[in-house]
This record gives sequence, structure tokens and C-alpha cells, in this order.
Amino acid sequence: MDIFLQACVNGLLMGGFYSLMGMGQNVIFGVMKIVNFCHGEMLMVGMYLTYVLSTAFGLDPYLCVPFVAVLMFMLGAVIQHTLITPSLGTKSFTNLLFLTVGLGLLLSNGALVIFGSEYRTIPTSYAQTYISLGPVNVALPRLISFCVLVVISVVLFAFLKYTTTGKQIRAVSQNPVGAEVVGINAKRIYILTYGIGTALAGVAGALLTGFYTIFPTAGASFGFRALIVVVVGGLGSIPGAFFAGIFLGLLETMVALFISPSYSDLIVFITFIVILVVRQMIIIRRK
Amino acid sequence: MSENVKAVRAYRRNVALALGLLLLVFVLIPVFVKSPYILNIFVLVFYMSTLSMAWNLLGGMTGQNSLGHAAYMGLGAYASCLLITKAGANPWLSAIFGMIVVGLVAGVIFYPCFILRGPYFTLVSIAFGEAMRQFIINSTFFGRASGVGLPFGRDSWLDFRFGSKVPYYYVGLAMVLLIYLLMKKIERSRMGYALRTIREDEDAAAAIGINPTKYKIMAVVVSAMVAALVGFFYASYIRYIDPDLMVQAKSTESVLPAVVGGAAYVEGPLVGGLIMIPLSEFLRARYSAMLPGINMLLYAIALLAVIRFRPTGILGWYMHSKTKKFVDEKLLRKPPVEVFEAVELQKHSGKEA
Amino acid sequence: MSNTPIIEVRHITKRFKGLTAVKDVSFSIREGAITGMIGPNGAGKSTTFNMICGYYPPTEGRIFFKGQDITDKKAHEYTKMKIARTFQIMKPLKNLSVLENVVASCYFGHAAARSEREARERAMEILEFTGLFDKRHILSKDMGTPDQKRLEMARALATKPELLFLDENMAGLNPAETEAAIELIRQINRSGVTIFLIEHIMQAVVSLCEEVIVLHHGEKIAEGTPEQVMNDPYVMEVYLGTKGGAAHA
Repeated sequence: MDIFLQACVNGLLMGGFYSLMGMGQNVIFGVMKIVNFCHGEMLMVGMYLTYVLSTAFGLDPYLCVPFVAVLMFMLGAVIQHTLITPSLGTKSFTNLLFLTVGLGLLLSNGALVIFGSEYRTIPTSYAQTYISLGPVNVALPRLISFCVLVVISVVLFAFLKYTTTGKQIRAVSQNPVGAEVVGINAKRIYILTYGIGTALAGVAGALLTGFYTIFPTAGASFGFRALIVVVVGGLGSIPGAFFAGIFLGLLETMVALFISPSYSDLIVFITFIVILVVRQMIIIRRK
Repeated sequence: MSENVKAVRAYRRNVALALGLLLLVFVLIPVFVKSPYILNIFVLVFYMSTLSMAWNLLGGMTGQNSLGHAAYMGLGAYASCLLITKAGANPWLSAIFGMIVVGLVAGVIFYPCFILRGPYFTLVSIAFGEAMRQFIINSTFFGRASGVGLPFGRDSWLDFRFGSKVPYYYVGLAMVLLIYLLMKKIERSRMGYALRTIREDEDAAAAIGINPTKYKIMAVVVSAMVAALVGFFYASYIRYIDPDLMVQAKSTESVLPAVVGGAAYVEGPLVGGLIMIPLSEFLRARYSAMLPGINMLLYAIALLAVIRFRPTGILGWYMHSKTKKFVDEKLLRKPPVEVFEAVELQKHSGKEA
Repeated sequence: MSNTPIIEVRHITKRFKGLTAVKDVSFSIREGAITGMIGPNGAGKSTTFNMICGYYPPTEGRIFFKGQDITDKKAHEYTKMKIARTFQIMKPLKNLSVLENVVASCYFGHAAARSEREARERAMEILEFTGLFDKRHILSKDMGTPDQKRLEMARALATKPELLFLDENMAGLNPAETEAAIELIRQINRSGVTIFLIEHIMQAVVSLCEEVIVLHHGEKIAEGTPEQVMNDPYVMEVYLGTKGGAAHA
């Protein structure tokens, strides 16, 4: 029973990251209808940024989070403005797809060229501190990270729901032409959206550094899981992404616990394919 | 009228001559180039371009952007390798067996998946590739993460096993040519028109009587079988395979020559492969000790530059360039389109009479 | 002509998530004739059209082709029955030339070409018939609306249909272009093709159709000859009364 509870908590803590990644992906897909295939690489860039900031200035990884968020937002805005917006005009889905795939290649191999392939960590005094919650032990960095990302999720949700800019983003995602007619500058919203999406991925990366190793392909598995979260949680739905992320984290730990840790990836991918196909069948049936 | 016929014939002869010369150059390369390093690059160009052509049938021609072709290649490599090592089968027969198995697997698995359109299909292809890799890593029969090796031994055509790179060069060249001709044939056939119609618009395809699912399945099966053939070639050449063959990055690598070269053209993967792979190999050999990843970084930059500035790829750019006009009109003496049509019509009326 | 109508629609209803787009509509299309369907925006014309073309099944009711139930046939099976359609929002194969667009169509349907030469020859004939011959080497995405609408018809004709469905084929054309399109549709009809069209432009419907069906709020409110329909007081109220400008468009 204790093991089960421990697995639940671990799944929940990991699932939070999938949620955060999924929400970023979801905002981007919602507005531009493109799948951001370099989302995982953005997380990796966030990790290296945290690494650089904390080794160069001796900052605590968690203090780096706001800086990482701002820098990643800028990176995303620049990418959107120089690469994605011009290609949106060609309406070629293939090109947009391989644009983000190419960006992913660029970022992961750029990191490989700059930092090499060795695994890095950011040592902290509290990395090995555990907190007991009843029968369950939780590493302190994981707990802090989870709390921070819950706060970020709530803030994001409120931002999209209540602020003017948030409403504009939702307007563009529902009807870009209509939004433009009522005077919303769609290009500005695209920049904002992609910036927010990458900032969320970067922050997820920064929050991971407390207990995760940093290497050039660290983001890949998170990137794909973000896509799963988006599809399972429903396109455009922020709460959906949140719960789908948690579900995915729990699914992984449960498979690891009851079947075998080495099968967890296999089962996640097969579950995903089945969910996709069944979901589409339901949509067709309803038509 | 006979002027026209002459002009068309002269043009066809010029094209045949140019292509013949090109082929001759490729045939003669191993006679003059003895460096195994250079030959290796050519072999790499051959099989990666073939893999890219396989992708292009599904991605470029049908518009189904798969990111799982490394999995088909890997499965083909595993199927033929296991048959050779476990059953002692002849490699050539096991290659055919591997292609059939992979074609069947792809057809059966993707049958339900083709109700998915656009990005969802891409996602399934990624998930499929990863699931296959994870399955192999977890299966003792497939040798888990440590992979499968092919036996070494005396040079033999029967066992497709050589110490030198030259035989692989010629087999690779033959493979590229064969698959290119196959793709060219498909492009001009009923299937090619069906696939391109589906790429442009599935509803429009259905409206003229094309069953989109049927043709997409055909495309994925042919594409997977070609990828499996490449897998067999790779395994026979390297003589060792492991699940890393099927990682996501390899699938992406198989797409790059096609997109850089021009995915709308059957020749796109060849042009892209011939330019990108030698460049990448050169960088890898030169700088990878100091800067690992530099060759893939170049790939990424080339890909982004092409998509941003030449969205139809190198060939798409060439097709509308002055260079092509010069080559066509001055070097090959291509007559205007009307002349071709006049000849075509004349032929038909002559036949009816 | 036989008495069995070429298409018979019996009590079809379509609901989308509680919204009833088409409610209990029945009508038939006579072989050899030009039948038109009109109605204001949102009247359920396109929904009815798409159900008859097999794009989605009706929630209730059946559709018959020459007495045979075709309600559950898929869209791609229609050309085998010698039925073809066009789309309101044109769907040309954008990156192919006009000729290739039509060649693609010649390869399919009940009289599919068996060789590339046959397909090309037939495509040339159809291009000449539809007046697109001179533009055959242009990429279809580079053409204007009138030519794209023509190409839609050419692509449909290339499957050698006996029955042709035209979905707002004249929307967005100026009067001269409309006139030319009407002439083309007449010619197609004269060559023995039954035509069913939905249209916004009154002028076209009045001058082309022998029979007209009027839809409003998803229900059939009138049918008959153009004169009968135009003089129906209810039709005048809902259609001409609210959309008077459309009559001149």
C-alpha cells in the first residue's frame, strides 16, 4: 500500500511537468493550428539557461525561473517573428511541420556543439532533502517544483480567461479572421502566443534542473508527452491539458509498478495510438 | 510537322545522352576512386536517398507526413537479419521476406490510423516508431538493446558479404536507380494521380471516385517495403543492427533530403541527398571530435533556410530559374510545349487512320 | 424517359448535436432535366446537397438512385454510379496544372481511362468543351474564380457522369461570367447529363431550371416550375422579401 501511495505521488509530481508542457503546446496549437515539434527542445534550452545562470552568477535554480521565463519568451518571440509567421502565409502544412522539426534539430544539436554530450547537474544544498508526508517520502526539489508549476498553471488559466490580452488570444484561436476584423493584430498575438508557449516550456526545464540531469536530448521525451497531453486533454483546453498531464504521469508510474519499468514507454505509446484512433472514430460517428 | 517530330526526337536524344553520361560517371567512380572513406559516403548517399524516396512517396506525393520511417527501415533490417541468423536463410530471400513482413505490418497497423488526418497522422507515426523500438528493446527474441550481428566471412555474392566497399557501391547504385524508376512509374500511373489528388484535397479525391483509404494504404505499404529494403541493405553493409537504428532522429534524417531537395518532385530526395549527405559527412569527419553534432546542426540550418526562403526546395527553385531555361533551351534544345502536343496528336491521328 | 426519377429523396432529416439543419425533406429529380434548389443562407441547401452526395448520412430518411437505395454509399462510390459533383468552395488540385487536374479525373469513375494516353486525350477533349484548353498548362491555383469554377465542372465531367450535382457554381461571378456559365451548363445538359444545382443567383435558376425546389429553415416550402415558385406568396415573403438584392446579383 505504501509503495502504491509513493507511486501515486511520484506520478503526480512528474505529471505536473507533462501538464505544464502540454499547456504551452496547447496555447500554440490553439492559436496557430500548428504542432510545435520543438517543444521538448525548448524545455532543454530552459534547462541549459538555468545551468548557465546558476553557474555563472551562483543563483539558486529556483531564483533563475523568472529570468528563464523572460529570456525564453524573447527567444520564442524572435523565432515566431522571423521564421514561423512568414511560413504561415504559405499555408503548407508540410513546411510548417518541418520548420519546427528543424528548429528542434537546431536547438538540440546547437546544445550538443556548445555544451557537449556529458550529463550535467546543478548541485544544491537541498537536493537530497526528503520530506515525509505520512507514509510517503518526497524529495524537496520535486515538491517545490510541483507547487511552482501549479501556481503557474492557475495564473495562465486566469490570464487567458480574464485579461484583455488573454481574451484576444482566445478570440484569435477561435476565429482568426473575425478577430482581425474587430481590430486584433493577429501577428502580435502570434508572437505573444509562441513566446508564452516557449516560456512555459523553458520554465518547465528550469524547474526540472533541481532533480534532473541536463543533456542535449533531455527534452525529447517531454516534448512527445506534451503532444500526448494535448491530444488526450482536448485541443485548446487548458484544464484538459492539466488533468491529462497528471493522468499520463500516473499511468507511467502505475505501469512501472505493476508491470515493469521498462514497459512504461511502450504502454504509453500504444495507449496514445489507441486513444487517437478511438477519439477520431467517435468524431466520425457523431458526424 | 516532321520538323516537330525531329525536334522532339533530338531533345529526347539529348536528354538520354545527358542521363547516360551521368550514369557512366557513377559507374566509373569506383574504378578511379579507391578511398574507402569516399566510397562509404557514396554508399551512404545511395541508401539514405532511397529511404528518403520511400518517405517522399508518402510525405511528398500523398501529403501524409510520416515521422516514423526509421522504424520501417529498422523492422526490415531486423526481419531479414533474424531470418539469416536464426534460420540460416539466404540474405537475398530474407530481404524479400523482410519487405513482405514490413509491408504487411505497416498495412495492418495503419489501416485504422488512416482515419486520422494532418498532424494526427504524424503523431501516430512517431508513436508507432517509438512503440516498435520499445518493443524490440524489451524482446529477447530481437536481442534487446544489444542488437543483432550478421556473421562475417569470405566474400560472397550469394551471402551478400564483402570486405571491400565496391560491391556495396554497385548494389546501392542499382537500388537507387530501381527505386527511382519505380517512383517515376508510380507518379505517372493512376496511383500517382490518386495520391497527388489526395494530397491536395481528400474530399475532392472522393468526389472523382478515389477511395482515399485504399490509396493511402497502398502508399504506406509500398513506402514501408522500400524502407525495409533499405534496412536490409544497411544491415548487410554495416553487419550489425541495434534499436538505435529506429530512434526518432533517424526518421527525421530520412525526411531531410526530400524536403531540402524538393518534396513535390520524385527527384527531390536524390538532389537533396547528393548535396546534403556528403556535406554532412565531411563536417562529421572534420569537426565531430571537437564539436559533436556539427553535421546535424548544418542539416538543421539548411532545412530552416530552405523552408524559409525556398519553400519548394532546391528543385522547386531550379524549376523556375533561368538556369533551367538555359539548360533546356541551349544545352538540351527542348522544343516548346506546343511542339510536344502537336507530335502527340499527330501520332494518335496516324494510329487511327 | 422512364417514370422512375433518377434521384428520389424520401423524408430526409439531418441533426447536428441537437440543431436540426434539414427537416423531413422529400423531392425527386427527373432524368434529363435541370433541377434547381434555392433558399436563403442557412436554409439547409448545402446540408441536403452533401447528404445526397454521400458526404454524410442523413439522420433519418432514405435516398434512391434509379430506384436503388444509395443512402449508405460512400462519397467515392458515386462516380461508379455515374454521378459527379462540384464544390461550392473550389477544390482544384492547386499544385497541378489544369491539364493534370482533368487527367486525374479521367483515371477514375465508371469509365476510367486505362492508359495515360487515353486519359490525356479525354482530358484535352473536356478542356476544349469547357473552354479551358488555352490555359491547360497554368497551375490551377494561379487562375481566377471563374476559371476555377469551370475547372470544377471539367473535373466532374471527366468522370463521364449521367447526373451532375453543381454546388453554387455561379457564386462570385459577374453577370457576363454568369451568362457564360449558364451557357456551359445548358450545353452539358444537352449532351445528355441530368443536372441538379443549388444556387443563390435567381437569374441563373430562372433561366436554366425546369423545376425548382425552395428550402427555408431546413424545410421544403415550395416546388414547381420557376414561374410557379416565383409567384408563390410564401416564397416571395421569405426569399425575395428578405433577400431582394440577391435577385439582381
